[in-house]
Amino acid sequence: MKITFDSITKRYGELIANDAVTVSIESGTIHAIIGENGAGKSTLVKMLSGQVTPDSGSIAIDDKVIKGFSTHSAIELGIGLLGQDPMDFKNLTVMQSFTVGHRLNTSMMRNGLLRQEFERLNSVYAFNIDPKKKIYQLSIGERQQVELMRLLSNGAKVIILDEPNSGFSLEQKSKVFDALDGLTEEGCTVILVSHKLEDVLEYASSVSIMRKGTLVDTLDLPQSPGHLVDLMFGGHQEESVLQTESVTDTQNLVAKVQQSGQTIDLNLSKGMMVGAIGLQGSGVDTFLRNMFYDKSFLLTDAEGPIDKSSFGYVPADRLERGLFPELSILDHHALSSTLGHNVIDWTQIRSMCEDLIREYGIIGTPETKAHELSGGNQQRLMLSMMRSDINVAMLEHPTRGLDIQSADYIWDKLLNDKLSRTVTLFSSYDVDEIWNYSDYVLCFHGEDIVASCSINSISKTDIINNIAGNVIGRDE
Amino acid sequence: MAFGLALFCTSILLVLLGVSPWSTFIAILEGSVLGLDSLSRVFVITSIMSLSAFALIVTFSCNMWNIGVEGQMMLGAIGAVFVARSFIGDTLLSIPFMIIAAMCFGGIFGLICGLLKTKGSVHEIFAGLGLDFVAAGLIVYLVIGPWKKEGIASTSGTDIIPEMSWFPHLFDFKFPIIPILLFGSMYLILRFIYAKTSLGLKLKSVGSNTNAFSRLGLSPDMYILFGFLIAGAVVGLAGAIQVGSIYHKLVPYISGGYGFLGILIALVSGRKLSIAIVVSAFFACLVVGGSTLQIKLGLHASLPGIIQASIVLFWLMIKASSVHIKLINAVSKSYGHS
Amino acid sequence: MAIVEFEIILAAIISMSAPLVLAVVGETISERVGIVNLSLEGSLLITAMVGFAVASITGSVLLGFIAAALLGGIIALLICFANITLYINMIAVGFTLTILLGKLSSYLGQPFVRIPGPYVPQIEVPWLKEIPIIGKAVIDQNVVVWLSIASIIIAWWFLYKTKSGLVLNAVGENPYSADARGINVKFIKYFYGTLGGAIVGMAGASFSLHSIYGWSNGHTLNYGWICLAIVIFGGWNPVRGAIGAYAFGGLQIMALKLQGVLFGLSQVLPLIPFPLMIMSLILIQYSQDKQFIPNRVRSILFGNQPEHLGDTFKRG
Repeated sequence: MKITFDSITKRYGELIANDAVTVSIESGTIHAIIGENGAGKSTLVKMLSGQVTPDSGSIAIDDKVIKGFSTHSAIELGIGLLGQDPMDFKNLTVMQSFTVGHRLNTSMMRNGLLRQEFERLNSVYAFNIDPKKKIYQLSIGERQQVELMRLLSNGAKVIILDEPNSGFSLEQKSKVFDALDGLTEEGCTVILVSHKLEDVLEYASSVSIMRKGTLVDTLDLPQSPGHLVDLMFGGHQEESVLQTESVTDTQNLVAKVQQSGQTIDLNLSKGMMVGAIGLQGSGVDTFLRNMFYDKSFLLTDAEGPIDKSSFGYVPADRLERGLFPELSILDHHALSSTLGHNVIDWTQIRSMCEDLIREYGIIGTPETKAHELSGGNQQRLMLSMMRSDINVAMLEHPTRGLDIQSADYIWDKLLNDKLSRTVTLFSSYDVDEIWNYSDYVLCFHGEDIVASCSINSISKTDIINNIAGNVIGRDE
Repeated sequence: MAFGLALFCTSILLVLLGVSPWSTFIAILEGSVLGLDSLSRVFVITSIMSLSAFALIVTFSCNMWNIGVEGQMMLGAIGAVFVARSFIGDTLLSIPFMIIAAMCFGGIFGLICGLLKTKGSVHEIFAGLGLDFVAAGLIVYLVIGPWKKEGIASTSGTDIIPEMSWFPHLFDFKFPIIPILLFGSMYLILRFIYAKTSLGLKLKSVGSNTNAFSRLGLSPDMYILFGFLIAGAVVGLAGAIQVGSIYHKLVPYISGGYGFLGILIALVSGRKLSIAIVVSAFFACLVVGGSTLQIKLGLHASLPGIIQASIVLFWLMIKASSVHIKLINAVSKSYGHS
Repeated sequence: MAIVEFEIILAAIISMSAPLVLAVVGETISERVGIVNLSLEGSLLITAMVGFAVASITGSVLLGFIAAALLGGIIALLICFANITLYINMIAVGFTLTILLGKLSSYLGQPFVRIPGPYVPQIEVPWLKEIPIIGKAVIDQNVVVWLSIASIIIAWWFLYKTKSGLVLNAVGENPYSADARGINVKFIKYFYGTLGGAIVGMAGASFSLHSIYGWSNGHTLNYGWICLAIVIFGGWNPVRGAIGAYAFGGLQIMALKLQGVLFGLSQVLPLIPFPLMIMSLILIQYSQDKQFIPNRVRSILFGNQPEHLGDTFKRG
């Protein structure tokens, strides 16, 4: 089925998720949609699956405009969405999960027909999944395989893969894509929304690049990964290699960072800012969280592993993981400053809180509840909660979703404070941010750190190529 | 506002049951606050129900349901009787030790519930329910076994405890000083904990977001256990009151359903301790005045319970459907126009 | 002689447990679709009372059953409404209802306390009842007992062998996935939640019209709570739940026989299901992570809690 998006626009309040996106996807192809986090890819394909309604614009299938998509009509039309979270049933068996909602299912479960169907797909695609197992016993990759079989079995002519991720082992992945290849030969259309450039380059025949809600370009593959990353991030001005102020301190730290079995030596001086960058879905997503929580991830200096009680962690999901939605700013400050079992002196805390609100420019009063704050203010609140004895500050995507003012402010603060800390680590998807603020950079590709060096000794292009996996001399 | 509406709906229910709401409420008032004896009883029962509601409010602040209150109250009673039957029972030390024992026994029982939840991943409702029955069984065992009455074991209870262990009344007014002191001090202590201590703040936080809680380097499990411990201790006191002020012995099902009523009260009180006291007092009047209903109006003893439960039910539904908000809007609109 | 004795005991157990079996089956269906009916204790009381009352007034046992079933369904419907449409926590509503209905049953049941009334008659099935063991135990009973046994079979067959049953399981397991597949989750929850309640209503009537004739305060002896425990202990499987119910009935019979010997056993007995239930839950959790337990054994021994049991469903 040929799919045409015509001038699709979708707004969420101030945020423009899709801005007049127009793209045509030929039937019988595997078409990829790439873009950084927040580019609008998921929103776009969710319109096809009926989960999101466009504010304006239309979608046509086989050149016929379809009015009013719903999840129901999408299923009827043969559109199947395979998301990151397979929508299955943990405690049911594979066969049962396969059967629920199946069009071939009759009222009696003596469904030899369905069983045959399952076995057929199972062997054709060589998934070899045991139908008697319970869903919770399968790995995520296997669960997605089952979902794929189910969608196909239900007559899906369009399969949308929305960021199928690291759950797949290499073997499983190639099986799935082999299956999809076969399908396209039969006229099915596959839309692959992904961050994994190697998958896109290997399996797709064409690609659309989205950035900040607009469709940048649609190209035929193959293309060079560096070129694609460039388009994803809006190109860059190659600047001459940046000279950061050398931070002088008589003590030179050689910090070791342990990440998925690797031990990386960082040549740091005290007070440096380390930027970790990678594409979404790479190890950069979990790097800082693991450093904070996982006992086997360590930061070591000359005297041995640094005590984690001096670590401060600011997660990307501010309200879900970092703050207490119903509690007030005052409560938050009280909490972070009285971690021992103390009687709280509210007058003192209140004046401290008011000072902090002023100092960090939080728009709100001590009584304002966390869920009432805007994203920028939530971030400021989290920063303000960081105790002064924190030696290692770790911030995930510190300026994600923030307005320019807040972002600038955050960086000002971080740069000011970095000298008094042993090291400040932050993660980002934005090359410019890394370029502007890091003294030291860690490039992630997949789960591994593929480059770690001072910002002085690497160029922006190199960074981009590193995270794209386009390192000279590497085998793909 | 929602409470008023709920009261109204309950009155309608009463009418449907063939009872006049007005005369019912009058009789209840008469039966509860107009006599010294009954007023005294109202105070005692208010104390018991308040303590129970407090316990629930504590666990609600950690986002937990403590259905085990009945069991915790029973354990508190067991603790109190244990002391009363010991060599201390005849001395002045008895009452203070009864109180301490009640808190310990109740607290530990609450802790078990919390452990089942945190370490055993048992849903706290089923754990609480199960433990309620275990506690009930424990009492029966004690009553017909090791603590049985002289002579014949009977399920009507143990021997009466020594008089020194009875909670005394003050003055001629039969003022139940101990129960009031107990629930009053618990109120103050809990208010203090929540208003002024790090512990209280942490309890609220762990109920708000366990992820953010561990980010601060704290252990959510530990504080949830704290919550259950405190709750159990608080409602254990109610058990001591049952023993010291009312029964003066250990009887099966000594908690008398007041634990569950505490749950209802906590639901309606919006997690505020002071409101819980007011509602408890109201419910206590219903209970005490209820016996007057029987005598004067020939109505059944279960009527107070019906009133209590239906108020809560209507309140829940009204709140959820925000009918009362629509009413307020409608009413203020009409006033605005006139 | 021993056989006869055994037959009689078996018959007594099956007969006595009939209400509990029905309640367990009904609640299992409801919980499988994700609705916990915490008002069970109160529901059983009031449906028992109403069943008996209606039967007394009309003289027809059948009408009593119908009334009880209707009432049970309406109560469950109320809980469903509060949770599915008003998004109120079903535990809060169920719990409040349990107290309300319990008290209401005492209140409204006054005129019927301890008066004699109609009861379900034994039915003679001439030659079938001569079959050894099964004859006495199963055939020589009344309609209610047959109903309870039939309910086990029907429920089992429905849940595991039909398409609708699979949909039911799916909705309770993960309403969001079911929703994504085009299933009308709210309707399914309403339907089976209410149906479960209606069956519970019949269980209540079975109490007053079959097990313990008539009505009195606290007539149903905490069976509501016990039923909740047994549903869990039975791993949300109607057959296992029924076995649990029969086991409990057996314990009760034993307690009656031993009454003289072990005083107070009748008090302690009703409490046994609960530690068992707690152990069950712990074991289920424990076994989830252990790979060395084969699948079959796991399902047979431990059962599986529907993942979204008790959660309030809101369309994303």
